[in-house]
Amino acid sequence: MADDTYFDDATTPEEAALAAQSTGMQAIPTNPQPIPLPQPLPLPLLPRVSGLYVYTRRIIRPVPPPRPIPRPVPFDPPRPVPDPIPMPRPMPDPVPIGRGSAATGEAALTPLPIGFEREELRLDVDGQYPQMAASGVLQRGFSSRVHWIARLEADGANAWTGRIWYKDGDTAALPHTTVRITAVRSFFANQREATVTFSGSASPRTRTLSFSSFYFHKAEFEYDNEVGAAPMLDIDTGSHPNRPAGMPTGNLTIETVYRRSGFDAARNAAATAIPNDGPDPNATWSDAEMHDAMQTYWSRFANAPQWALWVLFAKRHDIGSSLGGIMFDDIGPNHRQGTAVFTDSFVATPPAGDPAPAAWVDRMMFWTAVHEMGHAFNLAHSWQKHLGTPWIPLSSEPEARSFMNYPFRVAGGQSAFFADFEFRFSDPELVFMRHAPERFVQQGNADWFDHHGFEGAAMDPEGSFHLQLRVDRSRPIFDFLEPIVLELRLTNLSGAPKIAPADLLEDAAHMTVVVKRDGRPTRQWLPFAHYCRKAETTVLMPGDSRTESLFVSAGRNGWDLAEPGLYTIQVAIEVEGYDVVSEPLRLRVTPPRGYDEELVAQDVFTDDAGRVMAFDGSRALEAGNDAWRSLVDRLPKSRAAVHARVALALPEGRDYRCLRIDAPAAATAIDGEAAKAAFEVVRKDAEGCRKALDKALVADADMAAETLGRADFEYYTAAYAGWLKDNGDKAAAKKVGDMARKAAARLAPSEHPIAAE
Amino acid sequence: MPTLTIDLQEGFSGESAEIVVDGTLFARESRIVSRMQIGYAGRVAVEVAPGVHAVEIRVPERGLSLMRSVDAGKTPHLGVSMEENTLRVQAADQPFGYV
Repeated sequence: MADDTYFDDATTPEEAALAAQSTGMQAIPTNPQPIPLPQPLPLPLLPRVSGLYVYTRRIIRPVPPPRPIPRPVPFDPPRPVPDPIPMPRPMPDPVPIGRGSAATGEAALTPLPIGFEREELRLDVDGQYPQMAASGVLQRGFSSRVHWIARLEADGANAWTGRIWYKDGDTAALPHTTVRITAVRSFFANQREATVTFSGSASPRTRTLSFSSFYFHKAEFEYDNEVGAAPMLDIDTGSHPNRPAGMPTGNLTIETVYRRSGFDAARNAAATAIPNDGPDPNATWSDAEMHDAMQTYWSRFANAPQWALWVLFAKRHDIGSSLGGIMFDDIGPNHRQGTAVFTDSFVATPPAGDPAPAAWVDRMMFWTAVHEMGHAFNLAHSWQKHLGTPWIPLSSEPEARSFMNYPFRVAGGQSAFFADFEFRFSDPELVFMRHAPERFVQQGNADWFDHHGFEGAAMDPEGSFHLQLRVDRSRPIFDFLEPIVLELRLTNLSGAPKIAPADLLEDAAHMTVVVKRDGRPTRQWLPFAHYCRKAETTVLMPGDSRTESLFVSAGRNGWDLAEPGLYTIQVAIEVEGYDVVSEPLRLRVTPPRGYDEELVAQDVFTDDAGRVMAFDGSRALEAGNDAWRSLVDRLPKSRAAVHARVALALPEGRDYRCLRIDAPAAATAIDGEAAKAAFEVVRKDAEGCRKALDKALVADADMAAETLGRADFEYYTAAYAGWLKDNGDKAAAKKVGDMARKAAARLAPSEHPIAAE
Repeated sequence: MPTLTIDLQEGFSGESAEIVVDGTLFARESRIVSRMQIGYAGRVAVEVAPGVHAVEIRVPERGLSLMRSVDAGKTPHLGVSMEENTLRVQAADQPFGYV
């Protein structure tokens, strides 16, 4: 190496000890390394300043002085109120934790909330592949977080200045436009610190942060392999003669590549050899099988963002020998956690006439592993940088000698590539990995090629249909606990009649619904039931529409749309072989308004309660019924109570057959005796049903229409009017029908959409 | 008989593609979607007589078409990508690889 490095396995024992001292961790002996000769010492030997710096403080409410033990107070006549009334004394200063000096010039900032304040600085000016950049995070409590990035120029021996060119998050919390950073170099970790001064567009603001690590993030890799597919985790970079002239050679591990890229990369020792003992020993792997294997064999698997990933060395993919590796994990709610390398593929076939075929294969296999892992850090191929929705506008680098470029794609082919390849990522890729907002890079966080939920949709090129997703209220804002019912409207925009399944909007089998809460991964709504119906079609004449309601709060995935926050919902349905995709609908769920709502939520946000709501009531799911009864008792005037009363009342309106099984299933299995099952008829409660539906639908018809949505409100009121008529009260039936028409006519569609994230 | 393999590679997002060899429609693939992480969408294999053939790739929804003469003995592998509403075809003597 031309430069000493703290990102490298070649760190000296003294440096390792210093690093350990600085991070509070025990130094881990590195693998035995060949001693590179000669190894000139860089002069002068200066400690590095690049790395992560942190400032944290907790803001604690002042503890009131102890009060005297109350004693009986003799009754005194009222005394005059003192004038002026004594005011509370000023609160003491926040208590700093750890090192780091208080800021100056904070007047320009908004008042601090009670909670905590954390700042991070990633300084990137020396060491391995310096990018002359700095980035940081300012977080105040849970409500305000802003991420910034600046490009730097040297401004003195240990000082750098630059313009902030990127901000993400609560940008109002950091109105400044430039940054100046000074750093204290020291061999002693506890003396290292960096002082950041923000200026421009607001009063200057200065903060001193303590050194935390030479690395910008941590990362952990676990390598498992199919029996017979040998992992390639390190290589001798000098084993192949076609390499850059002057490139230092030696043993290189995958972890070292990522340490040089700024990650405190470690190998999880829990490697597993996955048996291939199925009926076909030559069976190939599908993406779904690899995803299942990841959940089974990866010791760290979690459906959550974490700086960790799983690498599988397997023999062959379903696609065949032309696939050398894949980041297969664009499945499920947390992407980019798993990658695979295929040892029985083209990457194991050296070019004809290669002077060192075995070394070529080793290098290609190693390159493939690091390449696929790069995808897990959300890196695109070098020629794809400008595609999709990159985090910043990017230019492709088709000739880059990077792990993310195909060797055989550059001018001159693979031999030209490897002649200049120094086992590294390109500079723009390093900026992304080191300095982009964490959610873009961290495994399991932002989706692969984020914001492409329907990237794979097969859109009808003629645009024959329009699918609208809407709510029947002036703003798409829902109360906490309020079941969310949306309206789907499909319109034939073409000039010709169109044939579509009759149950196109009624059965979720025809549709895909995705729900994304801001800051959370996208989830697919899974309905509680699919219906097996006779396939029937309907004709949609030009300009005609079909409308149907959609209860999306809960499904087999749980209550996807329940917590307070902002959500984006999008629906795609399949018509005539094409996907018709709605515009995204943004809606907000408000926070709970008190103890009762929080208490009731514990019982309502359950599977049983979700099913009771989805199926318009049940006499079997008593736990769910109890949850909704509790809601009606505690929150009788809430919007949620309208839904609850309807769901509780509808089964009461008729004789209801419940299947009762007397013998426990276990006993039946042991004795071989048939279960004693019988239908029990629960008699209808006409009076109870009528009272509940009057309260739900008639007492405040406008609110009922708004919270149930036009389609469901019209359906329930028509059903109720019919029920009243069948039960001999024609006058009441007419009254309900008239009231329903007036209330539905007053409904207005949403005209004030919520802005996108 | 030699086999021509036509790899549908990058830039497809649900379109159809028609493979026409010497004026005869050999295959019609619908709903082609490229996976960004491997730059690959699918493969069509066509058995042809030895010699040079006129291979045409059509993407009807985009109104795109591109014809290329291919020697099935020398470059039996074609890679087709769509970029900025333009079809690009690359011929190779070896199968394409993806990672």
